[in-house]
Amino acid sequence: MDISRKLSFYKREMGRQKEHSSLSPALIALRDHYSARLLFDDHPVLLREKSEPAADINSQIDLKIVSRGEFDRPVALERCLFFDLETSGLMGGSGVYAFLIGFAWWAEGRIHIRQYFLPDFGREPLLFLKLDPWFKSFDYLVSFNGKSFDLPVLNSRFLMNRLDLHLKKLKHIDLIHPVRRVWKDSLPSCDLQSLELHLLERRRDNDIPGAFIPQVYFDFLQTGRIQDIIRVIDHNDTDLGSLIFILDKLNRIFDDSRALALDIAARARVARIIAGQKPVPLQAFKILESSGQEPESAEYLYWKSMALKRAGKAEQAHTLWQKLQRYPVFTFRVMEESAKYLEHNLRKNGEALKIVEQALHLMEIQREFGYRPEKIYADFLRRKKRLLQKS
Amino acid sequence: MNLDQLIDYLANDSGFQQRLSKWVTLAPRPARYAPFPENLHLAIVQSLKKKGIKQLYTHQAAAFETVSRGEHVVVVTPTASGKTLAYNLPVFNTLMHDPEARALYLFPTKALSQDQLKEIEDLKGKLQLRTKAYTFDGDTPADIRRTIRTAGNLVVTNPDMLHQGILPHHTLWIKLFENLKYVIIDELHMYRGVFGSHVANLIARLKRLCAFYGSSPRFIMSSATIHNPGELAHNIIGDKVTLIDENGAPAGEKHFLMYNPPVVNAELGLRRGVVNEVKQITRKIVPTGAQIIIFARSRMRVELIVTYLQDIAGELGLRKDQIRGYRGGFLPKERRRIEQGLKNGEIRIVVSTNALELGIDIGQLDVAILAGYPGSIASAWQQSGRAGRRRHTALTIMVASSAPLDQYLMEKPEFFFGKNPETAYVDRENLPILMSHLKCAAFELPFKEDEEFVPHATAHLLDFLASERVLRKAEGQYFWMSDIYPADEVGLRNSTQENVVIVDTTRQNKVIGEMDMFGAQEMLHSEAIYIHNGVPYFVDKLEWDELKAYVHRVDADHYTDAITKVDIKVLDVLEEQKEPRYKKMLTEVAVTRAVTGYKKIKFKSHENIGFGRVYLPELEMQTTALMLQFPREVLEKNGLKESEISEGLKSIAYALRHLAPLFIICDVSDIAIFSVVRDPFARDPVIYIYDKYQGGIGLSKKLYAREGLLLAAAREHIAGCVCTHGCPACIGPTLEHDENARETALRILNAMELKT
Ligand SMILES: [Zn+2]
Repeated sequence: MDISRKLSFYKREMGRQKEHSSLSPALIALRDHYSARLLFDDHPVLLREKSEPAADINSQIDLKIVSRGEFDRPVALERCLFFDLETSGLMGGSGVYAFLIGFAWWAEGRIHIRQYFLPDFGREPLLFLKLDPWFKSFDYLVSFNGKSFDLPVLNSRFLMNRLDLHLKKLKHIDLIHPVRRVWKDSLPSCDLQSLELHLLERRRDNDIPGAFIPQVYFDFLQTGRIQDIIRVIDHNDTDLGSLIFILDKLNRIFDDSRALALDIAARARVARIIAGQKPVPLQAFKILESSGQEPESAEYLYWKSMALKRAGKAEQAHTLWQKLQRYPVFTFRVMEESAKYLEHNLRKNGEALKIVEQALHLMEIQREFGYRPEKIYADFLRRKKRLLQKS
Repeated sequence: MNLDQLIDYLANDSGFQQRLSKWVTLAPRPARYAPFPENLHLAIVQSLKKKGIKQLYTHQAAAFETVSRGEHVVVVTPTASGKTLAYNLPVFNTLMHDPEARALYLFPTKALSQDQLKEIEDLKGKLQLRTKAYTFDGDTPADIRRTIRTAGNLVVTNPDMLHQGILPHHTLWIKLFENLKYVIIDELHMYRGVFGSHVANLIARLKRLCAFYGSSPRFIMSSATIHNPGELAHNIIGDKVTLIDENGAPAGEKHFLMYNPPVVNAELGLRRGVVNEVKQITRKIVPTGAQIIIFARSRMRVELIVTYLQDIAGELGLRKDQIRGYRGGFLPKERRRIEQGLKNGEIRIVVSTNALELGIDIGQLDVAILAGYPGSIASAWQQSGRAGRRRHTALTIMVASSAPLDQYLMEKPEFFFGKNPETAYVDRENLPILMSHLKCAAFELPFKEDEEFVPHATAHLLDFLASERVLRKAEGQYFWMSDIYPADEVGLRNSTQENVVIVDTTRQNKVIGEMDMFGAQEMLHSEAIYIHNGVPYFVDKLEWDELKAYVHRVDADHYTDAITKVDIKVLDVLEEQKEPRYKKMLTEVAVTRAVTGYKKIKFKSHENIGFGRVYLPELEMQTTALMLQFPREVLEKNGLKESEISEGLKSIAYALRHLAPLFIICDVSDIAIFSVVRDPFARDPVIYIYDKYQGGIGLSKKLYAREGLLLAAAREHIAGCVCTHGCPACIGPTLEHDENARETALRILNAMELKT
């Protein structure tokens, strides 16, 4: 049987739909909707540009603490290129096409946005070549989850077009990591939408859910209808703006001149980040505390104590440890710290022993309630033995 | 008593002798050496010499030279004959000159790839190469994956990972693709049938990406002995391949004994059970001190034999832990322990499934006992190859079961010892499989208008996919236009995309397996007894809409046999030929099958103990079939009545189906057979043998070329059977036939005047 007859068998159950080939009216309609421009005559790409004032943004970004030292010198906001893609698939892999490539940057008190919409497949090469020199005017690429999705997709596209673009050479600030570090315990989820809602108090109207976006593009290719594509372009536009504001929020964590975006959970997480820095930026605690109205959480205090200890201020840490003994989660951890401090720093073995015995006593009482001795119990026992030998 | 003495003893044991249908002694084969090839790097030569390898075997040298000439090569190698070196030499030789070179090793299973890495590390250490070798499989952690992608010179993986993890993400593997010099495909004979058709398409995808990145790797393959290794290799890689089938490795004297258990019930054609016989034979061998490997066909059999033998461990003078089972599903650590125990002689008897038939390194043992014919001659030889230390005597005893194929081989042992007639076949053009891979390929890289993925039909197929809105044609190319990840939609080891999932309700709804929809109707209908890895399960419910079968374990005294209503419609005749008394056709057919009920059949006695009804939708499959047409007038001239013809055809069909795997490597369940007295298309009595896979996978096409041999084998087998009225070993269980069925079957076959 020849292949076409086989095919007729194969496709029997698959439905067919009529095709609309002529795209230009749709593209023209889109152009008019946004007062946009069409680039390249034969293989048009839509360019939508806009800019709006945003004077109230710091032009210097300091991410040293929230990036845990990855970006240890201040970044000039003007050197940052924000980007976000809308794609034909959400799972990644080389078959994913970026049909909308959005960029944003900040200059002289304004946010500028450029979105390139590719109205069909195969429109990339000219666009990429055109963009390449422009990338050189930036040092940083800023994205949200771009390290695991957007940039690999773009990289794939470059490779498939056998292009090696400057974009890859920019340092990449993926906001998802510092954002999670700070707000993980404060928000129901750390996706862009809930960050907007809770941090920026921006609410989206008529937004299209990300999962629908690939199908919207395929439908556009097929039918030329533009309503939903407009929603996608607006969605991307909103995403880009949010990126800038979220970066600004992150930047203002230690900005004592303004109300903080940090709730009590986030302050504890930031304290933990601070404690992990080297050298420990103790002054950051002052800033955090200067605007905090509520009393700090135990977790905050614990991380602060660890920061103090690492900064060589064991005496101050010890005061906190004594305070923290009242919090069951930290009781034994801080008792251990206190014991260490008394034994090694102050050489007060007797007092150290007292704490150790107290801790062991508490653990043994808890044992009756099902407490299973863990490593810390064994550590205390060992410490006790040593202290007894010393004295 | 040592092994040689045992062999003498067995030769003089008349009771034992009576049960042998054949004792073949293969003379020892001296090693054949070749000097180190001139272009083999001196450092490699030196490190081999340090290892005690003073010369290469002829096949190793030949493989090296062939690859050096830029040809693809397939080396036919029995177990333990230095095939690893055959494919590692060219790879390492290239690495000596080009530290950026890459090679991809494909093994059919994960266990094999782990084993292989050890060998590579060893050679690498000796050569002091900074080469990095990694296995890449489902267990590889994410951070290591990154390193492998950029820095791995040798990537050891399996086809499934290549399909889902590497090719769709090729842009991350740019270093591999740009520098790929060799692709090693081990155990090539495993890639046949559906799996083979998938792999052939997968290799086409791989080659397409290599071309994109400007590389053109050589393929180095190894295969067990089958009828057509060269042809198989050619079909898998879609290119000319040089065949090296002269093996230079030495072998000691080899005794291969075919042992047929005594008949216990001639009417039913039943022989004594394999497991019991194996126990008796083991008893005879253990005192020689020989290390024994016993191969069983299922995991359940393995466990059974282990238990039997451990029960008599004391009598054998062994500790229980010197007798071990080995099968899939063991943890890697446990497997390593057994492999180690075998190598250092601690374990005396290992009972294994075919898991150990492949190249896992356990050293060589003395005696192999095959508990039942393993299903293919190639397998039998591979299993037998586990016995035989170099230059020492080896003994293999194959114990036949009552199955038709086992019994046929006992009658005609020359079949077994002659040139292996088993042909491995792959069909690159099976439409459902081809389409799946075409989609994957389009996802990986847009197709150019004039690009060829499969000869002649590519443009046709691409246009079709475009018309179905899976691809979009723009700028002279076909682009992937879907948000699904096509490699996830297709598994390489199944034919149809949709499978029924088997859920074990007794183990927290654990999924224990999958089955294609056709198989599921027959084996997983509600109230069926489903045997999974030898363990019986009762099917509580087959949820057809959800494609789920809920099962629980039972101790069943019976199994179920589905009653299937089959209807075959011929769509097209591809080839036909008239033989003197019958006619054969190769046809495209539409098979509609519906399971309407089932029979309950008692284990062992095969007694029919009940019926049940099943309500399932009809399934349709388009496939290829070999149609054998037996002209009514010829049969009537030989005095056969219509009712007799019907019985006779059924009996012949049973024998044909069970003997077909002798001529094409496949499982009995890969093909199906259907006989009808008044076929609407041929208007004659007809037997159809068709591929049980959507689109066909070329099995019946292969049989079309050998139908004469198959029919002759069936006639001979039915005539020679020890039973009186037909039995499971020849025409099927007696209860299903009338009393003269065996006689009638023979009359029909004789009327066909077959050549012999
Ligand atoms: Zn029989």
